[in-house]
Amino acid sequence: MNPVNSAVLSAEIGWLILALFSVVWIFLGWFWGRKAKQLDEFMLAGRNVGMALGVATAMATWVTSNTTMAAPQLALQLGIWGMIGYSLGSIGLMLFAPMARRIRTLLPHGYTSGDFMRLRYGKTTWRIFLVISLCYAFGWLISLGMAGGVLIHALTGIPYQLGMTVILTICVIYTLLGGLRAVIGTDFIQTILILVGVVILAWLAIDKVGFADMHSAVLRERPELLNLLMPAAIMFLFNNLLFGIGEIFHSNVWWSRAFAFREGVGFPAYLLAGLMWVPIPIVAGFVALTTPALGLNVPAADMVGPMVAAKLLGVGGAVLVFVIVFSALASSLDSLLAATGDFITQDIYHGHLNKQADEAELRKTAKFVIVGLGVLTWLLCLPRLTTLAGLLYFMGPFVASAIWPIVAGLYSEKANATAASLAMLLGTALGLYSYFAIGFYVAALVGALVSMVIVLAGMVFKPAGFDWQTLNGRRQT
Amino acid sequence: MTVSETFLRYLVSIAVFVTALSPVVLILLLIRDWKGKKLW
Repeated sequence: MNPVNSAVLSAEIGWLILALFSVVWIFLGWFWGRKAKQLDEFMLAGRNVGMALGVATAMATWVTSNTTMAAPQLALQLGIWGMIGYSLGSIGLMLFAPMARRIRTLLPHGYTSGDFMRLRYGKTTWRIFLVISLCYAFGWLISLGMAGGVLIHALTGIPYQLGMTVILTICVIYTLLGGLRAVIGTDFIQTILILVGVVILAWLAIDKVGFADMHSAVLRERPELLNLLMPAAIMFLFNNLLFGIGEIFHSNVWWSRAFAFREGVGFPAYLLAGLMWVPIPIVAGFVALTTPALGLNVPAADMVGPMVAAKLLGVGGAVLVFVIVFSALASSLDSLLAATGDFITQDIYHGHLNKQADEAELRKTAKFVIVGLGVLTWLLCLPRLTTLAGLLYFMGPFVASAIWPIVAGLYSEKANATAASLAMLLGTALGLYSYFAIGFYVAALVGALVSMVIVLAGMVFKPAGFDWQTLNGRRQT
Repeated sequence: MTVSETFLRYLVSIAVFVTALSPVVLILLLIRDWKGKKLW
C-alpha cells in the first residue's frame, strides 16, 4: 500500500476555485433576490416554481456532500449493498410526490411543516415535532459544514476550520440576499455540475482501472464487500430506506418546496427527481471499490472519494471532485439554511415569541435567523467530533419516528394527537437505545416501527375525527 | 466472469448511463418552461 498525500491541489488553486464560486453564487443570489420584497417571495419564491427548477432543486438538495463523500465511504465499509442502500434514499423523494400534492391542496397558505403539525395535532405534538425537526436540521447543518472543511482540507491542505468557515459564509450570504429564489436558481446550475462531474469521474475510473481489475483486487483484499448476503449491509439497506423517508417526510426543506412549487408541479417534480437520483450514490460510491486495485491507503474513511479521484486523475480529478462536492454541499446547505430559517421564524418567533408580527417584521427576522444559524453551525463545526456517516445516522431514529404521525395526519382524520406525540417520543428513545445497543444500521428501523405501532393503535382505539378545513386557514400577520 | 463481477458491471454501467441522461432531461425541461413562461 502506498500512503498518499491527501493535499493534491495547491492551496492557491483551492482559494482560486473558492473565490470564483463565491463571486458567481453571491452575484446570482443578489440578482434573483433583488425583487423579493414580499414574505412569500423571499420564503417561498412566490409559490410559482415550475417543473425544471422544481426537479433540479429536489435533486440537488438530496445530493448532499454526504452522497458524494459518504457514499464512497459506505461502499468501502458495506460493499455493493452499501451503494444500493444509499440509493434507496431516493424512495423518500418518490413517496413524497403524492404528499407534496396533498400538502399544497390542504394548506394553500402554509409556510412550514410545523404549520401542519400545529393545525393538525395541536401545540404539544407541534412542540415535540419542533424539537425533533430542529435537532435534525442542526445535525444536517453540522454534517454539511464539517464535510466542507474536510473536503477542502483533503484536497488543498487549507486548514479544516478555514475551509469550513469560507463555505458557510458563502452560503449564508447568497441565501440572505436571494431567499428561496436564489436557492432554487443556484440549485439548477449545481445539479448540472454534480451530474456531469460524477459521470466524468465514473467513466474515467472504469476506463483507467476496469471492472475486471477492480473486482479481482477487491476479491483478494476485501472479499466481504462483494458478498451479496452481507447481513449488516442488508440491514443497512432497509434502515437507510426508512431514514431517507423520515428525513424527507418531516423536514421543512421538502415541505417548503411543496408550498413553493406552482400548482400541479409538486407530484411530477418529486417523482422525477427521485427516479433520477437513484443511480447517483452508485455512480459516486463505486469509485471507492478501486482503492484495493490502486493500492491506496486511506487514512480516514470519509476521505475515500476525494483521494480516489485525485489518485486516478491527478490535479484535474482533484479540481473535478472539488467542484462536485462543493456544488453538492452548497445546494444542500443553502436549502437547509433557508428552510430552517423559515421554520425558526414561523414556528419559534411567530408561533411563540411574537404572535402579532407583521410580514415586514417576519421578513427581517428571517434574515437575522439565517445569519444566526450560520454562526451557530460554525461554532458547532469547529471541533471535528465524529465521522460524517456516524453523525448522519445518529439522527435516524429522530426522523424515522416522525414518519407515521405525518403520513397518518395527512391522510386519515382518525390519527390522534396523543398517539402522535407518544410515537415521536418513544420511537426516538427506543431508536437511540438500539443505536448504542446494536448499531447505527438498525436505529431508524426501530424508531419507525415503534412509531407505527403507536400511531396505528391510536387510530384504532381512539380515533380523532379531524376536520380538514382547519388546515385551510391563513395565519394572521 | 463471476456472478458478483457481472452484477457490479451491470449495476454501475446502468447507473452511469442514467445519470448521464439526467442533465439532458433537465435542460429540455428548462427550455420548455422558459418558452411557456413557467420557469417561476
